[in-house]
Amino acid sequence: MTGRVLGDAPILKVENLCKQFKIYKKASDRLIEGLSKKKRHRVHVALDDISFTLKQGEAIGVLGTNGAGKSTLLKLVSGVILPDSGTIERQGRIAGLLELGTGFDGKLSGRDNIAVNARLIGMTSAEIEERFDAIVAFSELGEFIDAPVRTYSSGMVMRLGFAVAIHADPICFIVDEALSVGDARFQQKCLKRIREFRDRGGSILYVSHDINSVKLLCDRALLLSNGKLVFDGAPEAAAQNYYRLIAGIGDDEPRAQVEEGASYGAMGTHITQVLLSNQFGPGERFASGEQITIDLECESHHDVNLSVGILIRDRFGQDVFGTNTALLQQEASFTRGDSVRCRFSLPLNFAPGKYTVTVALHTDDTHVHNCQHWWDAAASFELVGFSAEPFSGLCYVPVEFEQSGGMRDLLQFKR
Amino acid sequence: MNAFRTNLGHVLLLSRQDLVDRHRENALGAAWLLIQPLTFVVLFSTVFSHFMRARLGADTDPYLYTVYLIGGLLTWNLFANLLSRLASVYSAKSHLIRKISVDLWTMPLHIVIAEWVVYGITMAFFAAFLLLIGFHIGVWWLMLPVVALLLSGFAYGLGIMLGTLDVFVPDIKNVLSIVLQFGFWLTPVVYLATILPPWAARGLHFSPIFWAVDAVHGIVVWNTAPPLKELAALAGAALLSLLASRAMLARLQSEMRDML
Repeated sequence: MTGRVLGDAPILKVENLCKQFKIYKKASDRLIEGLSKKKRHRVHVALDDISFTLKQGEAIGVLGTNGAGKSTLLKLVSGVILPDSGTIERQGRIAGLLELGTGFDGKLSGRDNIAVNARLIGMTSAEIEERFDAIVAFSELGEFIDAPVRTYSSGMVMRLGFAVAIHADPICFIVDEALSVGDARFQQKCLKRIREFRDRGGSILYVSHDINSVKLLCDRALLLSNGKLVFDGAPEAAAQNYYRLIAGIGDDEPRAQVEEGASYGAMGTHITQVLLSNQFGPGERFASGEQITIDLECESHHDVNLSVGILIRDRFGQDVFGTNTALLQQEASFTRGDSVRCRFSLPLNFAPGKYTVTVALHTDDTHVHNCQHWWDAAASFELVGFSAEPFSGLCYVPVEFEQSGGMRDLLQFKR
Repeated sequence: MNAFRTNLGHVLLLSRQDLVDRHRENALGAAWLLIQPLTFVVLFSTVFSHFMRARLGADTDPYLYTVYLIGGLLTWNLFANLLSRLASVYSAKSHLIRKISVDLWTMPLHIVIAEWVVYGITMAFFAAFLLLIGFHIGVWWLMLPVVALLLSGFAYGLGIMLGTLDVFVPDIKNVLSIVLQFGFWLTPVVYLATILPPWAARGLHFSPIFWAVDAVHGIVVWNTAPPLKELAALAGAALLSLLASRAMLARLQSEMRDML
């Protein structure tokens, strides 16, 4: 590994960072203002007094709604724009995945573009030569590597860009939603590669709307809201705050929608169909508290024992409830060439609203291990009204009520 | 030190792209880099030495005017090409500036390198032509790179200032192309300075471009040393324009990056 800094000096130290943008109605207004000294713009405060440090081997997630200042922060950190006040101290090479495919020239072949792009993001000739084959292999472009880049699909361009960036081996990676590269399998490959980078001691600054990937990848998370740093701490707590934030902004619009039907995995065993039914048969509209079944139809190419899981998310993409057979201390077994039905029965003890059901097949208790199939939002349902007694809040828990004479008997124990 | 290496790397890469990669798809490839200057020299030398037979003063040497014309034209072209390309350098390279941290003052150096290669190649063909017609190449030719360097320094500072303004007012490019046409005819490239009325000739002495063109004419046509006074003034103008461009970038760089 090259370019690693020893010692525990922070890789990135940001102090009291402020950035404002002047918004002009017309480009010429800027000139008129310069000449007449009369103010013709309004100020947009993109970042206001942001401070944090990123240590070696640390991965920080940056959460925030659209317009919260995430991209501005990343641009400042990578040195593309300059702060109005505050300091940014950097140690060593910081490569940004917002530089995906920087300087690609459509006329040149993928091969030539690798050399150009790699140089632009700061690799030396020796490094490029050494890693060239690995880059080509990672991009999975195969024989297309010698075709001009203008003939590539956008997915191919992104794959090539990511392949170069991930091989730059910087001290710190800046990732801006870059995992929307290529198909789901390639995304997983990228995510795996980024995790390996972190495990080797690399630092990451990761911006994403996908809270789960932040939780998966990051040790810490920052939450930005309207240019201010409102939270800095554990990813779970940051996610909670984030949910609260978006919930406060507008209850009637889903903000963090999970992409419908994203489906990936090794597919050695896979789920072909997901069906929700109540006592009257399959459906999509149920009442809160109603007992339903979730049936997964699975097909396998192997004889294998796996864990089958379901995850119910609300309209914000927040995980409301999930379980799997490993957590239930059961096992699902599949035989080669057979299709099997797995059934979960549960009461829908959730508040009225729209939900999605994500299903997965993997080993052990989380989908990180040997994920055979992960199917986001494989089914959805809406809860309208209550079948049992109404309640307030997100979910129902069994409650009993009774009345007796005074609390004296209870208070005795308290002492 | 590390930043210097990165900047240098960017400049070299961009000039390579400019010179070689631009011709990559052509069948003749980088040979076009030679063909264009060769055509220029051959065309001008034949047209003006044989067909037009324009004469220069009382001299009867048919080649004298051709030498005068090409010498001046090459110098003017170096200046004009540098200036017009520098004036649009930031908008042309905005896709890079938006994505990676590049040093705005050194990045445009790639244009200077690329233009110098073209200038050098053309100069080499020009010298070959002079040898062919038996025209004297004097020792003062060694001073040509100095004149070109000072002129480029002047053009660099000026070009960066225009390029900076161009980000805010994109009309600069259009204005510049008109101003350059006037500049071409106001500078004695096609004609001799002596045909100008006295007031215009006096005005010429305030033009850094004239200082350079005049020095080149002296070296190439009359085999005389470039006048020290003009060289010193040119150096002064170059320094001033470079310093001014630095100051201007330092002031506007942040806003400029926001705009791009």
